[in-house]
Amino acid sequence: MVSLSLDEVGAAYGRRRVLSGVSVGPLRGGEVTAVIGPNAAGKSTLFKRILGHVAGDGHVRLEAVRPPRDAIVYMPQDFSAKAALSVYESIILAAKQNDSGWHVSDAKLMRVENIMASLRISELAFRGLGELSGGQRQLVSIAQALVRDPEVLLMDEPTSALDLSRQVEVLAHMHHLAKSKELLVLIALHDLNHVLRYCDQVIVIADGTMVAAGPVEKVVTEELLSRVYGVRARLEICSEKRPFLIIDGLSGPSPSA
Amino acid sequence: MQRHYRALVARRLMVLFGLSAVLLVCLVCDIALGPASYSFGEVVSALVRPDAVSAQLKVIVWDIRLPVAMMAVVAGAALSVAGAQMQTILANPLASPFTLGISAAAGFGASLALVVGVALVPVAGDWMVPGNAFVMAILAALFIHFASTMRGVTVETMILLGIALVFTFNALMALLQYTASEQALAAVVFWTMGSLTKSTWSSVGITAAVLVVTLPLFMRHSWALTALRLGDDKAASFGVNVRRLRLETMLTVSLLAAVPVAFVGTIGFVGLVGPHIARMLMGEDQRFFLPGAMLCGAVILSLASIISKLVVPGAVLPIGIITALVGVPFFFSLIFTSRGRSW
Ligand SMILES: Nc1ncnc2c1ncn2[C@@H]1O[C@H](COP(=O)(O)OP(=O)(O)O)[C@@H](O)[C@H]1O
Ligand SMILES: [Mg+2]
Repeated sequence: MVSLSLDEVGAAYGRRRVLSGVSVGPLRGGEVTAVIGPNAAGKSTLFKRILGHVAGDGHVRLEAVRPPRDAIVYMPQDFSAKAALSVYESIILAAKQNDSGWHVSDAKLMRVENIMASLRISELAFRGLGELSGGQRQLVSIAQALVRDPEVLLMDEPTSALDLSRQVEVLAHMHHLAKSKELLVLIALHDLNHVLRYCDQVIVIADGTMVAAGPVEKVVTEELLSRVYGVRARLEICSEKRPFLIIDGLSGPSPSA
Repeated sequence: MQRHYRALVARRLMVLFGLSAVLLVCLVCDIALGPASYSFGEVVSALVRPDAVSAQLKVIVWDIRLPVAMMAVVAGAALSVAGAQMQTILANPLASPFTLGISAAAGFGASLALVVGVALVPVAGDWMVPGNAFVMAILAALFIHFASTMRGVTVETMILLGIALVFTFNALMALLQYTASEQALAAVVFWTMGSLTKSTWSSVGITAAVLVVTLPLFMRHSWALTALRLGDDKAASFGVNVRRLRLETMLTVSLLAAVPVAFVGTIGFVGLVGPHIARMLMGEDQRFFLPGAMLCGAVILSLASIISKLVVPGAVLPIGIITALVGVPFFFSLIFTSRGRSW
């Protein structure tokens, strides 16, 4: 089974260190792990460090069936939509990066279509990328990630531009994929109720360092929210015995300000 | 969806096929036309059965017209492909051998040979001008490339650097022209207008060889190059080594741009517009975009070559003038009528 552990992982852009001391794991296939923290905390940087796109100290240990280049799939926060490509072509493009032949097999096209259907974006197939809304582009980006058949999936704020029902749909879908295909999913998220509802583990980053990590119900506490976000909030238990968050206001000046 | 996609692919192949047919027609017309008035039939028979026609006709067709017509095709193709890949790796619709200063640098190199008689490479005679032009063009391309790898230089800045190069080399050229003899001045002016008339089989052969060597490199990376158009982050997320791909492509493109410019002079329009027409016709999947850009560039320059012989009967106008005067209105009409917007 696929597993990922981080040991004192840090990252730097050139000489500028922006991340240090991230240790978790091992995270295992079938688990959804949220990466949370204020803006510019270093969430995207952590993903890039795991991928090796950014250099840094510490160790990233991955056990997967395929080599890391194929096993880890990353969905960046946004992408450029200037290319003269249709949605369908752009997803085929993602699927074809691993093999260099020019022919696109029927099986590949089938796969692209199934994934588009599962994300309910089939009707966008032959629209140009430039004609999409931010939310539609995000769904295309998710499709591009899924079509590469990941073992480990790193998603950087995949729901930031989606409406409420799409957010729920995507997160539920990812949760389901993780459980049914033993996928290891890391998601950078801002909505903590989504974290409570759909994630098993959480990594909290603030100001370039890891503040806490572990099972969601242990880590996400009123004290943590006040410390990391400067937000007064209450954790309640809903009628289905699940925790949820009620926000009362700021507890003081925001620490990131 | 699958069916729609396959149909799309088939349509693009048809467009490529159609462009090839148009190119072939242009090529034959280009050879048939010229100051010496032979009939179309005579020229064609000289092409198919060179030994069955008069020696004079054979020389005119095989040693004068064919190299010029072929040069229009290969130089147009090379410049257009160079422009296409510059636009791809720099993510900028204005990128082309002309706007990045490569043509201007070549012009300066050529002027050095024509005015001062300085050879930058140890070649003499007919090869001095293209030799100089080539060296300067490559230097300019390498400068742009290494500037682009410096920290803090974004792809947006690169066009500005290119424009700066254009002004620098134009100023240097003006300086040379100011000091030049009347005869040298005329030669420089003629060179900067761009002309195919000096083409020989060797210059055609060299340009074609560069094209043949570089195309497979691009074709091998066609998926990765297409991915680059979704932005560096996205391409990297697909497992593309963005830095290396950009480096390799820029070096290859330098060669592809420098060689034709060295032989035919400043022909600004093809490298910019060929790729745009190809993009409008078939999108940016490099499997189709690359051959499309190549064919569009070849057709444009071949057409320009034909028109340059028709405007003033008995004379051949410099082709650089024609490409701009005829190409720009055509390009405008394409921009205003095309529905797909890609930049
Ligand atoms: N390419 C880069 N070069 C230099 N600094 C960067 C770069 N990308 C991000 N940073 C810096 O690293 C820090 C963390 O950024 P990021 O990981 O994007 O935060 P977020 O948690 O919002 O995803 C920020 O201070 C940001 O300014
Ligand atoms: Mg981020």
